Amino acid sequence: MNPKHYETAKVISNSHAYGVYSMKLEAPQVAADSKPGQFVMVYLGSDKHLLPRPISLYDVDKAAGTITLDYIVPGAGTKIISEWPVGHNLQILGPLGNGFDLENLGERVALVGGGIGIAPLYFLAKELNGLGIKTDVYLGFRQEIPRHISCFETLAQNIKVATEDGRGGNRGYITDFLPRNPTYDTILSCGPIPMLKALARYAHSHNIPCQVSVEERMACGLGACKGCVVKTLVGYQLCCQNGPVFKSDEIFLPTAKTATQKLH
Amino acid sequence: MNRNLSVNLAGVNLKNPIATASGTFGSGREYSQFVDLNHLGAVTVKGISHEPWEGNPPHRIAETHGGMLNAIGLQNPGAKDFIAYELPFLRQFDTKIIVNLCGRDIDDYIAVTEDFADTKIDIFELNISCPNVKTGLSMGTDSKAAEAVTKAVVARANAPVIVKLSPNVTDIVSIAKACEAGGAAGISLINSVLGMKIDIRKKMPLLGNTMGGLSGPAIKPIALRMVYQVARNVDLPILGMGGIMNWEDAIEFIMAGATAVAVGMANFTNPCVTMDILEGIENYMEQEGITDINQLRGIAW
Ligand SMILES: Cc1cc2nc3c(=O)[nH]c(=O)nc-3n(C[C@H](O)[C@H](O)[C@H](O)COP(=O)(O)OP(=O)(O)OC[C@H]3O[C@@H](n4cnc5c(N)ncnc54)[C@H](O)[C@@H]3O)c2cc1C
Ligand SMILES: Cc1cc2nc3c(=O)[nH]c(=O)nc-3n(C[C@H](O)[C@H](O)[C@H](O)COP(=O)(O)O)c2cc1C
Ligand code: FES
Repeated sequence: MNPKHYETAKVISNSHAYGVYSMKLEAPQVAADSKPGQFVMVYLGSDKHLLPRPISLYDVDKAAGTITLDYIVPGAGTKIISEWPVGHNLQILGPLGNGFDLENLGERVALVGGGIGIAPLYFLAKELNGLGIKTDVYLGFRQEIPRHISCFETLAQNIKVATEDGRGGNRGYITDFLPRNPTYDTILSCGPIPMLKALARYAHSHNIPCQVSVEERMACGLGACKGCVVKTLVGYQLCCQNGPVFKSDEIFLPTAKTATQKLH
Repeated sequence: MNRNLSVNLAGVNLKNPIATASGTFGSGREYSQFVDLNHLGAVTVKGISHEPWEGNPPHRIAETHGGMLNAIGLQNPGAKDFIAYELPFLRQFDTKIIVNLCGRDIDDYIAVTEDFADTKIDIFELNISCPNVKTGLSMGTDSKAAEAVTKAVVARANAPVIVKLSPNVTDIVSIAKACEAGGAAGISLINSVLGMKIDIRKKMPLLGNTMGGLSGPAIKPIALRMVYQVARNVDLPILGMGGIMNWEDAIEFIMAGATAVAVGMANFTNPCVTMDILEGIENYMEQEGITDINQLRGIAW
């Protein structure tokens, strides 16, 4: 069993820029055992919101014993997190999940991130850089481009950024900016489902192995409650234990269903 | 002072009254890095059926005010797999093992009971109350069906059988009495309360199975009331649960008449919560000068 820790962490910084929050925590035990693509459960200390929130490891500094989480605030739980001041103590559980499989990646790797899905890719890019693997980074956003994407610059050979409204140069979905004749040995990705679907088709048509990090609602984070299933070729698998990273040709990415059409 | 925390649940001696609730603690292994299983009175494992069950489509979990909904649908690898891979792990620890049995009909319950014929389990918890499978609830909400399935399982089980009841009934006491008539050695209650949540952006139910079971502090007053009613009217030991988050809650259940208590959703809020609860009970007993936990049972009647 991979070592997991239920640790009291301390907020070193927790700030907001361009729609994304970034929180650095002193959490030496979790930091020591972490791999790219893994996540932590963040406990809210609330009587109303009782489930912890899964958040990816954006950055880990093993020497300093710190982890950094990049997050957006879609609801009440992340709102609570965003209000924690420097020095605040919180409980976290981690590192959880298997993370990206870094065996046999080959020589050239493409990292593809969309929106807050870029969160696990920075730690990953650092690790790949350390392994001497050449990476190209593709990042897609709706409008605003988070300032800190500049941190990828020293780690990647090439960076391409696209936004849906064209801000920053390239207009459209980031998957439209992937090369026509790719020479990548592996694609590693995290982002919204439509992006992952387009990417999975791309990887499949070019016969490139592709790993995608996905999200599902969680309660325990430990494989105990069987709550966080995603559908795969071998049946339901647990996002928290078998994932959150899956091979793109083994997972069925869900089609977003809504009842909006009933209105019209 | 020497304090006694051990209790007798259905003829089985638990070293303390703290158990885990089925489905919230896996098979113990998942939490063993955080909780010394040797310190638990009992571990109740996830519901197990004769054949493997796939469970419901996602989403299976929704957080609600002071609680959560789950619609897992009893996903489990089946009894044979459990006996081969999970039971040996749990056996290493000095704690009692409660196996939660589920089925789609009486034959299915009989089959899973017989799957355990050659193994040594401490207690069977007969789950006739899962709100997330089609037939689960019907058994637990009808006295005749509850008695019949209890009788069938008790006749074949090689360990005491406690029956886990659903709160989704009008008269919990009559169901408990039916289980007693069927030969149950104890009653476990409550299972989760049927509920639902709608995603107002997608304009449809959030859970893949539309409805799910509510658990957590939101259901505690209902659970406590039902434990009280059954304890006062049925002469069987009770494993009480529903929204126990801390030692104060656990003591309330014991005072309402529970012999032991099971901690469910609280494991998600704090993976070490069972140990915190145990410590809190010990401190309380010391403060109150109570030497035997059994003195507290039903004291609030
Ligand atoms: C493995 C994993 C890694 C993640 N990494 C990040 C990250 O690095 N940065 C980031 O901003 N977000 C990340 N998320 C998504 C993040 O968990 C949700 O945005 C967050 O839980 C929302 O909580 P809330 O209280 O603000 O929203 P609410 O909608 O109020 O939450 C209600 C419930 O639904 C759950 N929930 C809602 N949205 C999601 C979601 N997308 N995924 C899983 N559960 C959800 C919540 O955890 C909570 O239990 C990750 C999710 C997973 C599964
Ligand atoms: C995720 C989850 C899974 C559950 N699975 C089972 C199960 O397999 N069998 C069962 O009898 N009860 C199951 N339950 C019900 C719990 O054992 C317990 O009766 C209920 O949650 C109330 O207790 P709580 O409020 O402390 O969680 C489950 C509950 C949850 C939250
Ligand atoms: S969150 Fe409980 S099994 Fe994954």
